[in-house]
Amino acid sequence: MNDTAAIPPLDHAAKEKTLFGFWVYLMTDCLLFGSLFATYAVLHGNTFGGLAAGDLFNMPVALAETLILLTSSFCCGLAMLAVQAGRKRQALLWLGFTAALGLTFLTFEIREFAQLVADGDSWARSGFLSAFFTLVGTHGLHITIGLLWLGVLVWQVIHRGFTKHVVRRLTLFSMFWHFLDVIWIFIFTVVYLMGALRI
Amino acid sequence: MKNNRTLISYAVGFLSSIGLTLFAFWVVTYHILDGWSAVWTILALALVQCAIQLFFFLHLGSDTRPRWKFLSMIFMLVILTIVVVGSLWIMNSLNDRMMMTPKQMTKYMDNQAGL
Repeated sequence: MNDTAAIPPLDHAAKEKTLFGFWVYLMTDCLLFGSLFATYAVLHGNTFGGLAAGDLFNMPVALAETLILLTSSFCCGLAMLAVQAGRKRQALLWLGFTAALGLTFLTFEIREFAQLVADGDSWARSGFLSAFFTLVGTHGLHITIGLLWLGVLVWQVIHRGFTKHVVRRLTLFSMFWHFLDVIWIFIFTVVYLMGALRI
Repeated sequence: MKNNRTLISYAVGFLSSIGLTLFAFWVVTYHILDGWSAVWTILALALVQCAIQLFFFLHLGSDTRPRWKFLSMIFMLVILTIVVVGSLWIMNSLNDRMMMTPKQMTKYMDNQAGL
């Protein structure tokens, strides 16, 4: 294992193009989430006699989820610094932290969903809950896909090292992961904090 | 040293994001503000945190000219604003014109549910 091998030089223009293409995908994903946020904002009062957001959600858990995802995003950034420095073991360590924190976040979310469904507050209960499960569930689905992607990348780093293609994929993954954290800021604010305000 | 500077920028982004999250949480759970002033405050905090993460984590602004990343983001924001503000405007106006609050609508639908 060559731990400090320098990254081979990249074709700069081609890499810039790929990164920009992925950025455009992220922008379209923003529009997807934007329409789900609009749906939630319109439907959040339509509880059909059931509990509203302020009575349903556990705020400390939501705060914990937020901080876990934020830390995961930070670890992903540190992993990218290690990748740029060509430090394989360090990069794998930080990617491991990123994955572990992402998995913890997902576990919290699945438990929250399971609890809601067990209490009879599933997506079929009201317009508000349909919008909630769609919005937060879509984010959770993105996180799940991100974790699978990260698993494949870790495998590639171990077996192939920092080749041109692996480094490019890692860069794209880090953009995706930071982006998901940005989306979560708004879910935390609009769904959980504004729910607790009972507006 | 470029790597060191990036490390510092990640740390600054991380710590200020934690600070803003805790601040917004504190405003809401300890009822520092209430009603719409609280809503506008936490929305503003979310926007600031979004800008911080875009700058420190996603390195927006390190673009070379022409700034395609920035331009495509502005385009996305214009459409996003039209979708979100437009939906809320139309649906709230519709509720007003039917002279029903969501609560009254729920009650109305509850009564109709047996049909």
